[in-house]
Amino acid sequence: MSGTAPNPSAAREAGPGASRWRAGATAALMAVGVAVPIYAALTGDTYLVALASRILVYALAAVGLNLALGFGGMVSFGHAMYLGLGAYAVLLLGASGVTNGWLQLAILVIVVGVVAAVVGTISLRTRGIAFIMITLAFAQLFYFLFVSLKAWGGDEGMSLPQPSSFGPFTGNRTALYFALLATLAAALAGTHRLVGSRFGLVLRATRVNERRVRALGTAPLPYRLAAYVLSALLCALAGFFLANLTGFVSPAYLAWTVSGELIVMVVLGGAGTVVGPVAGAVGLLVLEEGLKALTEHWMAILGPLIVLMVVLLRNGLWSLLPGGVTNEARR
Amino acid sequence: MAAPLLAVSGLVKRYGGLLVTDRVDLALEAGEVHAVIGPNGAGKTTLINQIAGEVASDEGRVELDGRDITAWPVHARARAGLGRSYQVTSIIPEFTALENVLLATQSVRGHNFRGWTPVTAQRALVAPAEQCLELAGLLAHRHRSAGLLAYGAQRQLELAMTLAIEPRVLLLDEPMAGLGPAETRELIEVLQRIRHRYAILLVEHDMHAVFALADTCSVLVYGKVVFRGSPDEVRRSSVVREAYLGDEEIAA
Repeated sequence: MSGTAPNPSAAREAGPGASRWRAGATAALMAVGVAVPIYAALTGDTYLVALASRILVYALAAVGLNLALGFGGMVSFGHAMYLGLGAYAVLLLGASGVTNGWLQLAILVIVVGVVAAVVGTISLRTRGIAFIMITLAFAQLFYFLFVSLKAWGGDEGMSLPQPSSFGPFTGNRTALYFALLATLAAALAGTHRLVGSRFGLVLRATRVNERRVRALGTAPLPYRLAAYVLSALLCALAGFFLANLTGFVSPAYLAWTVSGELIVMVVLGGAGTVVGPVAGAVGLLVLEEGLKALTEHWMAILGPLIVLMVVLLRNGLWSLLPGGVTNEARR
Repeated sequence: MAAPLLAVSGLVKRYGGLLVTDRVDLALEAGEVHAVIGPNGAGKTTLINQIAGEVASDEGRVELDGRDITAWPVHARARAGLGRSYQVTSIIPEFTALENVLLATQSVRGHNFRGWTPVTAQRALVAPAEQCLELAGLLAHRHRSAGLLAYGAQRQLELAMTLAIEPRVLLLDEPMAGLGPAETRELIEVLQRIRHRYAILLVEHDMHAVFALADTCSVLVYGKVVFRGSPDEVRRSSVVREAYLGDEEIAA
């Protein structure tokens, strides 16, 4: 992705106080996140918590993908693979006796880190459509690998023998929910800091003009690769939560449609904005649930609706709030 | 005799059967401005791209301060002191002017694997960046989005970014391209002020600029240096007049 075509949303200047809108909206999103389990506990509505958990998992994965896609211009069509790897780690490790959640996370970070580094090193040699295709190919490779593992449920998947153990919190759904919410908040705070840092400046510049970055004395690849790996790790973390929330793991988590949904969430919410992907995840999944309740032909409505929204909101839901991507408004 | 700061010898580039750079030799000392002029398609930009490392040379050597950098990648050359600007403005439109220059400033100060502290909060980076902006006359616009700056200001930003990597050699590819007469005059003044610090290779179509700045001119036609001399000699040369005939006239 080279060339200097200006991003119209980005070129808009942030007026004084404009970032407050985004900070306020972020706080509001988080407040809703905190309120849901409290409301559910008062009313006994478990459906709402299940839906909110699902939204949080995909929001975390979308925030991860956004690091590569939104800020780095790396359009990965295979990030579901990392979501799946995170989920399968819980199943495979748990079944082989490693039940400690922290240990599982440590192993997950190392394994996914290595896989992402290898896949990234190979994929980042390509650009544009070729990059999209090669990331899809890797994801399909892992998809069929897990389908072929008959001992682990094959294409039907398998229930977890036990959830990741975190001492007294093991299997506590409320604790899991808040841990997920806190992880998402940390990921957002981390992204906010990252994009304004030296690393972030290089990453965002390579999205627009790699040639210029080189001419200024910086080789782009190490930074792009690091961002890709970081983005994969966030997706894997989301997968770890997903497996524990559902108590079930299947190759469907790695399906290419999931990779596609993650891209839609990022683009719908606002690629290259910090909180946009969360708005995208909320928007897409709430819409999906709402339409499912209305009709069984919900996909026929959802599809055109997404197209319409992406066309009308060129820069995503988050850009409806005042404040550009520049200056301090990157929230 | 000490080696010149930038020495180019026997540089060749072929695209298939087409000879784009034909055994070009160049030597530049610090404080010297060497202009490369020639009709469109003479291979001026290709020559800069070869020296900067964006285009691999088929033959010849490029030496910076006595070191053979012919096989070095672009970013290593930039860190070694080769700063280039682009004919087509190559700024990051979504960054502020300051962030654009910071991207360059931080590039030559160690690695950029620092992901927590905002760049704009680091005095050690901001101070030199603001100096470059001031030099280019852009300090007042530092917090504006680069994409929203006027074209002339964007050209100034292009130069400020190139200066911010603290180069010793400047490869300027038509810095005046698209500028009005007043803006051109301003940019000439800026270059006059800083010329003593750098060895400058200037590719330029604007003959006012060339004659005002250059110590030496090389006339490039079909990749070959057909004439080399002082601006005055170039002005009088019949070879040069012939090369330009029907292309554009040299304003005296």
